[in-house]
Amino acid sequence: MKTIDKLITTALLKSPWILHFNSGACNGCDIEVVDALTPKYDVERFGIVLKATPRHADILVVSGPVTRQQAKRLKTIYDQMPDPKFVMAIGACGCSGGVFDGCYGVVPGGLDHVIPVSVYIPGCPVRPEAIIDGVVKMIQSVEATMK
Amino acid sequence: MTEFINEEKIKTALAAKFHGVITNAEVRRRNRVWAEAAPAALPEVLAWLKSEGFHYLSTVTGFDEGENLGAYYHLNNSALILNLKVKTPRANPVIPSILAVFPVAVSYEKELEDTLGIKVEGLPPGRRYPLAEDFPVGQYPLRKDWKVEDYLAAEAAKKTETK
Repeated sequence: MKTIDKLITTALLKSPWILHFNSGACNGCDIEVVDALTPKYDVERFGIVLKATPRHADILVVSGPVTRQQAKRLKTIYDQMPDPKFVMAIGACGCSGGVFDGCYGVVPGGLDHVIPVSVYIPGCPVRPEAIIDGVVKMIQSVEATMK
Repeated sequence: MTEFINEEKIKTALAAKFHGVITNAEVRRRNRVWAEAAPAALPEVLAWLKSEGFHYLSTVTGFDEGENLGAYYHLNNSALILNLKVKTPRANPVIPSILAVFPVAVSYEKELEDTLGIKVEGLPPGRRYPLAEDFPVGQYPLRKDWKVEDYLAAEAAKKTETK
């Protein structure tokens, strides 16, 4: 790894900015994501900030099965994010399509059939603790590869 | 049935006004009137009902009865719900658009076209709704003979082809 890349990744892990994308979820997981960001769990104190644009984001947080209509848009958003970038699949639907897998409206197989996924967080809906745990484990695993 | 005065009144008025167009008009229970209309006269019937106080179109429900496709138009006035059934043969399913009477019905009519394959005559062209824009044309997922297994197999075949 080049020094500049190492510097960028270190800065990213110090304060990962996230973009939340609902790809057709029932809104249950979205509420839990908001729960993790707001004062009770308050991940913002660790520098995890919700951004409004993919160009500022390091982690794409995707909740829900990917609907057919959104697959192309999700891919565009993923392509707009600067490298290095990570994707979190939130909830049973994000991991595998959940109960919606096999419906005519969704892409069969879940999120990883559309974009590469770094972390899978199961649950229906996921608990905020699980989301935070997922972020921490992801950061640890990336740090381990840097050494 | 004297206890359902309002229900009977709208039922008989409807049947008398549209003689030969409205069939099977009946009061099934309190505040519920059911009737069946010929498809060609649908906008006319709805326009008259709107002038009689049925200002609110709750929703439109599509159905597949096998030989016939069609839709229920659920109309409300301040007290009653009137369910107007329109059916059309499966071989050539056509229903006239009711946008002139209820402009709000545009999403319902698009849904009838997209998911049941009923041609709605007079519906302005536009993008697909509610199915995805790349959904295979000519497949109607809410029809009873549509099998999701066939669709998934076709999708899987397409995926291996592109690889």
